[in-house]
Amino acid sequence: METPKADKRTRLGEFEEIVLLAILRLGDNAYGVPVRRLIETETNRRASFGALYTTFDRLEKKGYISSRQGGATTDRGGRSKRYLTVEGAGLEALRSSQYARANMLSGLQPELA
Amino acid sequence: MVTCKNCGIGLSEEAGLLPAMRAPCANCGSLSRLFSVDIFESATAVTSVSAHYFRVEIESASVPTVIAPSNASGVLPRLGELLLYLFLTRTERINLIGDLIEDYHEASAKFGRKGATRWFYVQVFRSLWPLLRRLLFKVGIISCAAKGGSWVLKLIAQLLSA
Repeated sequence: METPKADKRTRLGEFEEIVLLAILRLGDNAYGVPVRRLIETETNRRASFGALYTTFDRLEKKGYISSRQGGATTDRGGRSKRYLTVEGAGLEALRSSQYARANMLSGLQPELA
Repeated sequence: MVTCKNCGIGLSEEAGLLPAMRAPCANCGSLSRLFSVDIFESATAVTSVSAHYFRVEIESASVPTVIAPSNASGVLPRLGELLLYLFLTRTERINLIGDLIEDYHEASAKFGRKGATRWFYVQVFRSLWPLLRRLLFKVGIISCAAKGGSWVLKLIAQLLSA
Protein backbone atom coordinates (compact mmCIF):
# COMPACT_ATOMS: atom_id res chain seq x y z
CA MET A 1 0.00 0.00 0.00
CA GLU A 2 1.31 3.45 -0.90
CA THR A 3 2.03 5.81 1.97
CA PRO A 4 0.16 9.12 1.69
CA LYS A 5 2.62 11.99 1.41
CA ALA A 6 2.59 14.92 3.84
CA ASP A 7 4.45 18.14 3.17
CA LYS A 8 5.64 20.55 5.83
CA ARG A 9 2.47 22.64 5.84
CA THR A 10 0.12 19.69 6.17
CA ARG A 11 2.20 17.52 8.49
CA LEU A 12 0.71 16.95 11.92
CA GLY A 13 2.53 17.82 15.10
CA GLU A 14 2.27 15.40 18.05
CA PHE A 15 -0.14 17.58 20.00
CA GLU A 16 -2.17 18.32 16.88
CA GLU A 17 -2.56 14.60 16.31
CA ILE A 18 -3.72 14.04 19.90
CA VAL A 19 -6.23 16.91 19.62
CA LEU A 20 -7.59 15.56 16.31
CA LEU A 21 -8.02 12.09 17.81
CA ALA A 22 -9.77 13.55 20.87
CA ILE A 23 -12.21 15.50 18.68
CA LEU A 24 -12.85 12.38 16.64
CA ARG A 25 -13.54 10.30 19.75
CA LEU A 26 -15.88 12.86 21.30
CA GLY A 27 -18.02 13.13 18.18
CA ASP A 28 -20.89 15.61 18.59
CA ASN A 29 -19.80 16.71 22.05
CA ALA A 30 -16.33 17.94 21.07
CA TYR A 31 -15.62 21.35 22.59
CA GLY A 32 -12.88 22.78 24.82
CA VAL A 33 -13.74 21.24 28.21
CA PRO A 34 -14.27 17.55 27.22
CA VAL A 35 -11.37 17.67 24.75
CA ARG A 36 -9.02 18.85 27.50
CA ARG A 37 -10.33 16.26 29.97
CA LEU A 38 -10.01 13.41 27.49
CA ILE A 39 -6.42 14.39 26.65
CA GLU A 40 -5.53 14.57 30.33
CA THR A 41 -7.08 11.22 31.24
CA GLU A 42 -5.93 9.26 28.19
CA THR A 43 -2.41 10.66 27.73
CA ASN A 44 -1.65 11.67 31.33
CA ARG A 45 -0.53 14.97 29.89
CA ARG A 46 -1.64 18.41 31.04
CA ALA A 47 -3.14 20.61 28.38
CA SER A 48 -3.90 24.28 28.98
CA PHE A 49 -6.85 25.98 27.33
CA GLY A 50 -4.42 28.39 25.67
CA ALA A 51 -2.53 25.52 24.02
CA LEU A 52 -5.81 23.89 23.01
CA TYR A 53 -7.32 26.97 21.40
CA THR A 54 -4.16 27.88 19.48
CA THR A 55 -4.09 24.28 18.22
CA PHE A 56 -7.76 24.50 17.21
CA ASP A 57 -6.88 27.64 15.24
CA ARG A 58 -3.95 26.00 13.46
CA LEU A 59 -5.98 22.91 12.59
CA GLU A 60 -8.84 25.04 11.31
CA LYS A 61 -6.49 27.08 9.12
CA LYS A 62 -5.09 23.86 7.67
CA GLY A 63 -8.67 22.76 6.92
CA TYR A 64 -8.47 19.72 9.20
CA ILE A 65 -11.32 20.75 11.47
CA SER A 66 -14.32 23.04 11.31
CA SER A 67 -16.09 24.76 14.18
CA ARG A 68 -19.52 26.09 14.92
CA GLN A 69 -20.93 28.12 17.80
CA GLY A 70 -23.25 26.24 20.14
CA GLY A 71 -25.93 27.60 22.41
CA ALA A 72 -25.05 29.63 25.47
CA THR A 73 -25.84 28.15 28.87
CA THR A 74 -26.11 29.73 32.30
CA ASP A 75 -23.43 27.49 33.87
CA ARG A 76 -20.97 29.07 31.42
CA GLY A 77 -21.98 32.62 32.29
CA GLY A 78 -24.07 32.88 29.11
CA ARG A 79 -21.09 32.12 26.88
CA SER A 80 -21.42 29.79 23.92
CA LYS A 81 -19.41 26.63 23.21
CA ARG A 82 -17.21 26.14 20.17
CA TYR A 83 -18.08 22.72 18.77
CA LEU A 84 -15.47 21.05 16.59
CA THR A 85 -15.71 18.51 13.79
CA VAL A 86 -12.91 16.67 11.99
CA GLU A 87 -13.03 17.25 8.23
CA GLY A 88 -11.96 14.89 5.44
CA ALA A 89 -8.53 16.52 5.17
CA GLY A 90 -8.05 15.97 8.91
CA LEU A 91 -8.87 12.28 8.57
CA GLU A 92 -6.44 12.03 5.67
CA ALA A 93 -3.69 13.69 7.71
CA LEU A 94 -4.34 11.26 10.57
CA ARG A 95 -4.13 8.30 8.21
CA SER A 96 -0.88 9.62 6.78
CA SER A 97 0.54 10.04 10.26
CA GLN A 98 -0.53 6.52 11.25
CA TYR A 99 1.11 5.04 8.14
CA ALA A 100 4.37 6.79 8.91
CA ARG A 101 4.28 5.62 12.51
CA ALA A 102 3.44 2.04 11.54
CA ASN A 103 6.29 2.01 9.02
CA MET A 104 8.75 3.28 11.58
CA LEU A 105 7.56 0.78 14.18
CA SER A 106 7.84 -2.27 11.91
CA GLY A 107 10.37 -4.69 13.30
CA LEU A 108 10.62 -2.88 16.65
CA GLN A 109 7.90 -4.84 18.45
CA PRO A 110 10.37 -6.89 20.59
CA GLU A 111 12.16 -3.76 21.82
CA LEU A 112 8.97 -1.87 22.60
CA ALA A 113 7.00 -4.75 24.13
CA MET B 1 -56.81 59.10 38.17
CA VAL B 2 -57.75 62.56 39.50
CA THR B 3 -60.15 62.93 42.48
CA CYS B 4 -61.18 65.85 44.64
CA LYS B 5 -59.08 65.80 47.82
CA ASN B 6 -61.91 67.30 49.85
CA CYS B 7 -64.91 65.13 48.93
CA GLY B 8 -63.22 62.23 47.06
CA ILE B 9 -65.36 62.43 43.94
CA GLY B 10 -63.75 61.39 40.63
CA LEU B 11 -63.05 64.26 38.21
CA SER B 12 -62.64 64.22 34.44
CA GLU B 13 -59.62 66.47 34.60
CA GLU B 14 -56.14 65.98 33.14
CA ALA B 15 -53.48 65.12 35.70
CA GLY B 16 -50.99 67.52 34.10
CA LEU B 17 -53.29 70.56 34.40
CA LEU B 18 -51.75 73.55 36.27
CA PRO B 19 -53.48 74.41 39.63
CA ALA B 20 -54.41 77.89 38.32
CA MET B 21 -56.27 76.35 35.36
CA ARG B 22 -58.39 73.94 37.50
CA ALA B 23 -62.14 74.35 37.65
CA PRO B 24 -63.75 74.09 41.14
CA CYS B 25 -65.12 70.69 42.11
CA ALA B 26 -68.75 70.40 40.99
CA ASN B 27 -69.67 68.75 44.33
CA CYS B 28 -67.87 70.86 46.97
CA GLY B 29 -66.09 73.68 45.06
CA SER B 30 -62.61 72.66 46.26
CA LEU B 31 -59.49 73.12 44.09
CA SER B 32 -57.46 70.49 45.98
CA ARG B 33 -56.78 67.33 44.00
CA LEU B 34 -55.61 63.78 44.73
CA PHE B 35 -53.69 61.90 42.04
CA SER B 36 -53.58 58.13 42.22
CA VAL B 37 -51.46 55.77 40.12
CA ASP B 38 -51.84 52.01 40.09
CA ILE B 39 -48.24 51.19 40.97
CA PHE B 40 -48.84 47.45 41.42
CA GLU B 41 -49.82 46.95 37.76
CA SER B 42 -46.91 48.99 36.44
CA ALA B 43 -44.40 47.14 38.56
CA THR B 44 -45.67 43.77 37.39
CA ALA B 45 -45.40 44.81 33.77
CA VAL B 46 -41.79 46.01 34.13
CA THR B 47 -40.69 42.84 35.96
CA SER B 48 -42.19 40.48 33.44
CA VAL B 49 -40.64 42.39 30.51
CA SER B 50 -37.18 42.24 32.12
CA ALA B 51 -37.44 38.54 32.89
CA HIS B 52 -38.56 37.75 29.38
CA TYR B 53 -35.70 39.76 27.87
CA PHE B 54 -33.19 37.94 30.08
CA ARG B 55 -34.49 34.53 29.04
CA VAL B 56 -34.30 35.41 25.35
CA GLU B 57 -30.72 36.58 25.79
CA ILE B 58 -29.66 33.31 27.45
CA GLU B 59 -31.29 31.11 24.85
CA SER B 60 -29.82 32.97 21.92
CA ALA B 61 -27.03 31.16 20.09
CA SER B 62 -25.89 34.29 18.32
CA VAL B 63 -22.42 35.36 19.46
CA PRO B 64 -22.83 39.14 19.93
CA THR B 65 -25.85 38.80 22.24
CA VAL B 66 -24.05 36.64 24.79
CA ILE B 67 -21.30 39.16 25.51
CA ALA B 68 -21.79 40.63 28.96
CA PRO B 69 -22.05 44.43 28.97
CA SER B 70 -18.71 44.86 30.74
CA ASN B 71 -17.18 41.87 28.93
CA ALA B 72 -16.11 40.43 32.28
CA SER B 73 -17.72 37.21 33.47
CA GLY B 74 -18.10 38.27 37.09
CA VAL B 75 -17.42 34.64 38.05
CA LEU B 76 -13.68 34.28 37.45
CA PRO B 77 -11.00 36.25 39.29
CA ARG B 78 -10.84 39.56 37.45
CA LEU B 79 -7.08 40.01 37.08
CA GLY B 80 -6.54 36.61 35.50
CA GLU B 81 -9.44 37.13 33.14
CA LEU B 82 -8.06 40.51 32.07
CA LEU B 83 -4.64 38.94 31.44
CA LEU B 84 -6.23 36.41 29.11
CA TYR B 85 -8.27 39.09 27.35
CA LEU B 86 -5.04 40.70 26.16
CA PHE B 87 -4.20 37.70 24.00
CA LEU B 88 -7.56 36.29 22.99
CA THR B 89 -9.57 37.00 19.86
CA ARG B 90 -13.14 38.23 20.17
CA THR B 91 -14.77 34.84 19.73
CA GLU B 92 -12.18 33.13 21.94
CA ARG B 93 -13.13 35.53 24.72
CA ILE B 94 -16.57 33.96 24.60
CA ASN B 95 -15.65 30.30 24.04
CA LEU B 96 -12.45 29.97 26.09
CA ILE B 97 -13.70 32.05 29.02
CA GLY B 98 -16.93 30.00 28.91
CA ASP B 99 -14.87 26.80 29.15
CA LEU B 100 -12.91 28.24 32.06
CA ILE B 101 -16.13 29.22 33.87
CA GLU B 102 -17.49 25.69 33.38
CA ASP B 103 -14.34 24.13 34.84
CA TYR B 104 -14.09 26.79 37.55
CA HIS B 105 -17.49 25.78 38.93
CA GLU B 106 -16.31 22.18 39.11
CA ALA B 107 -13.02 23.19 40.73
CA SER B 108 -15.01 25.26 43.27
CA ALA B 109 -17.11 22.24 44.20
CA LYS B 110 -13.98 20.09 44.51
CA PHE B 111 -11.44 22.39 46.16
CA GLY B 112 -13.49 25.30 47.52
CA ARG B 113 -13.26 28.90 46.38
CA LYS B 114 -9.60 29.42 47.32
CA GLY B 115 -8.52 26.21 45.63
CA ALA B 116 -10.53 27.08 42.54
CA THR B 117 -8.88 30.51 42.36
CA ARG B 118 -5.45 28.86 42.57
CA TRP B 119 -6.49 26.38 39.88
CA PHE B 120 -7.68 29.25 37.70
CA TYR B 121 -4.41 31.19 37.95
CA VAL B 122 -2.42 28.04 37.10
CA GLN B 123 -4.61 27.71 33.98
CA VAL B 124 -4.07 31.36 33.09
CA PHE B 125 -0.29 31.28 33.38
CA ARG B 126 -0.02 27.98 31.53
CA SER B 127 -2.19 29.41 28.77
CA LEU B 128 -0.21 32.62 28.39
CA TRP B 129 2.84 31.17 26.65
CA PRO B 130 0.98 29.46 23.77
CA LEU B 131 -1.14 32.58 23.28
CA LEU B 132 1.90 34.89 23.38
CA ARG B 133 3.76 32.59 20.98
CA ARG B 134 0.86 32.78 18.54
CA LEU B 135 0.82 36.56 18.80
CA LEU B 136 4.58 36.84 18.21
CA PHE B 137 4.31 34.50 15.26
CA LYS B 138 1.58 36.63 13.73
CA VAL B 139 3.58 39.83 14.27
CA GLY B 140 6.66 38.19 12.78
CA ILE B 141 4.79 37.16 9.67
CA ILE B 142 3.26 40.62 9.26
CA SER B 143 6.65 42.34 9.68
CA CYS B 144 8.26 39.99 7.16
CA ALA B 145 5.62 40.80 4.59
CA ALA B 146 5.90 44.56 5.23
CA LYS B 147 9.69 44.66 4.91
CA GLY B 148 9.80 42.35 1.93
CA GLY B 149 11.15 39.48 4.02
CA SER B 150 13.81 40.25 6.59
CA TRP B 151 15.83 37.08 7.23
CA VAL B 152 16.03 37.76 10.98
CA LEU B 153 12.25 37.89 11.31
CA LYS B 154 11.94 34.81 9.15
CA LEU B 155 14.35 33.02 11.47
CA ILE B 156 12.32 34.08 14.53
CA ALA B 157 9.13 32.93 12.83
CA GLN B 158 10.77 29.58 12.07
CA LEU B 159 11.96 29.18 15.65
CA LEU B 160 8.53 29.99 17.01
CA SER B 161 6.81 27.58 14.67
CA ALA B 162 9.17 24.72 15.60
